[in-house]
Amino acid sequence: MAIKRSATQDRGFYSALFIFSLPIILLLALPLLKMFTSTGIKELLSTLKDVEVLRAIGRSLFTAGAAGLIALIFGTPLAYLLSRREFFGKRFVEGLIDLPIMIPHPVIGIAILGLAAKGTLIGDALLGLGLEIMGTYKGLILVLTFVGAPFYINSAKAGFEAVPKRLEHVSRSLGAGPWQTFFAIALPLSWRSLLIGIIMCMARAISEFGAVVIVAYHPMLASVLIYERFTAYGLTYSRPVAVWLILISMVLFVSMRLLSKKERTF
Amino acid sequence: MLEISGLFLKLPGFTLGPIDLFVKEGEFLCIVGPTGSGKSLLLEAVAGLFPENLMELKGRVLWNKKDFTFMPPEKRNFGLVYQDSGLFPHLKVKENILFGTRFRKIPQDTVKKRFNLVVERFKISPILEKFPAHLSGGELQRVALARVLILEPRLILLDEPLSALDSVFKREIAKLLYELHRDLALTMLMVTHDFSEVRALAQRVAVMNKGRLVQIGAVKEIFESPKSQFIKRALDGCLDIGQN
Repeated sequence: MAIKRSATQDRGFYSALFIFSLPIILLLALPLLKMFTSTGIKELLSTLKDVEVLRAIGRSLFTAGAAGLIALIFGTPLAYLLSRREFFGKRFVEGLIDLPIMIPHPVIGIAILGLAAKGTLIGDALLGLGLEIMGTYKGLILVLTFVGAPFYINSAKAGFEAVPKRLEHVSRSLGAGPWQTFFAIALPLSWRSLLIGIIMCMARAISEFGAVVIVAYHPMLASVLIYERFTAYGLTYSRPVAVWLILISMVLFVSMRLLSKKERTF
Repeated sequence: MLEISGLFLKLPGFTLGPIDLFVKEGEFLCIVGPTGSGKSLLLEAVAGLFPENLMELKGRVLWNKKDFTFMPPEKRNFGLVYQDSGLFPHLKVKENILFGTRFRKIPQDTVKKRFNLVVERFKISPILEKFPAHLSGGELQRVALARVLILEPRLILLDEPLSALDSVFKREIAKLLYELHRDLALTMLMVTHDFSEVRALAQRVAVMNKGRLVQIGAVKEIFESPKSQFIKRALDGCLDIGQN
């Protein structure tokens, strides 16, 4: 009897949680559902024949992947450092990492434009090195790394923090130096967090629009193409491109998520 | 012989030492003291693992008169076994045992010979292909000890290796430690707060309280004329609540 009453109470509690969760679920699902149901298969297939669309989606995936790779190479040491060491200015660095998440993204575009445009000290120096930022792939990757890397660094940092320091102590006492301990212990134990960080970084990069249009309208990314089609031709022409971008991104991210959840042996 | 000479560590809100202590080769010395007395801090300092927030370090750690104070932990060849065994969860038992041999210049045939010896001594051949998550408490500690012993360490540092075990496994691992010390004349420095472990294993005891050594001597001497309230209460079987 008591068990039955307890089970009923639990059911009531979880039902209430579900009811309160519903507005958020609907808010997230309905616009996307509407977009999918309003786009016919015929429109979707004909969009696939549009070279401009395919190139824009390809560009988005390529530049987002490059941003993810840069975040992995340069963000991993930073994330490990932040997870393991206290140093002067650490809170400032952590705040700096979170800043791109908080500020409006056109502001990021303007900031990069102010720093790396022609006629500026750094812009001219980069030009001298053959690194044109404005309106180039390099510029796009720079912007996408700026907006995506914080997501990677925060996820990787949390992953490293979850590795007990004791394991690294044991590793050192067994003869492994700090580099060997990093590669043999810290990295294999936190790879899931690193992978999730890359997914989040790439997802953020693919969805970026505000900073991209300021730094590099061309070469055109999918997000910019969708906006351009919307302003020029309206909903009907922009929607199939958006649906394809969502579908391709979903396949990519779901498969990466599945990989990260592969059965744990430990 | 391990010599700790005037070792002093200052951390925010805690100071350890100055500590003067020696452990003769082949000796089993236990460090006892209440929680927060600095036992594990001392053990890790001997291993060369200093806390991140260390503000000041004085004194020396010597091994056979050679200064080890600032030697990196990986160069000391001091084995370290923690309460939770510290096995690497992503590596199988076999890989855990062989982990240290990858970083030391030990010939392959010697590694093979030593591996077979530790596997036989610790009776771990049935679990070699298992991951630590699938092992019992006793098995975890046996593997942790095997992983240390394969490297033939100068000194074995044990940080409460029995305290996470239930009574059956505790007896098993305590017996193993006793036999290892008896048969191989290993030098062992163990931190514990359990006096039954001290009675069973140690030859000498160092008593710590609030970061300082308050008494060092043979087990019998410490138990017969304890100088600190902590030991008196523990011997009386009272619950220690950290007041002295």
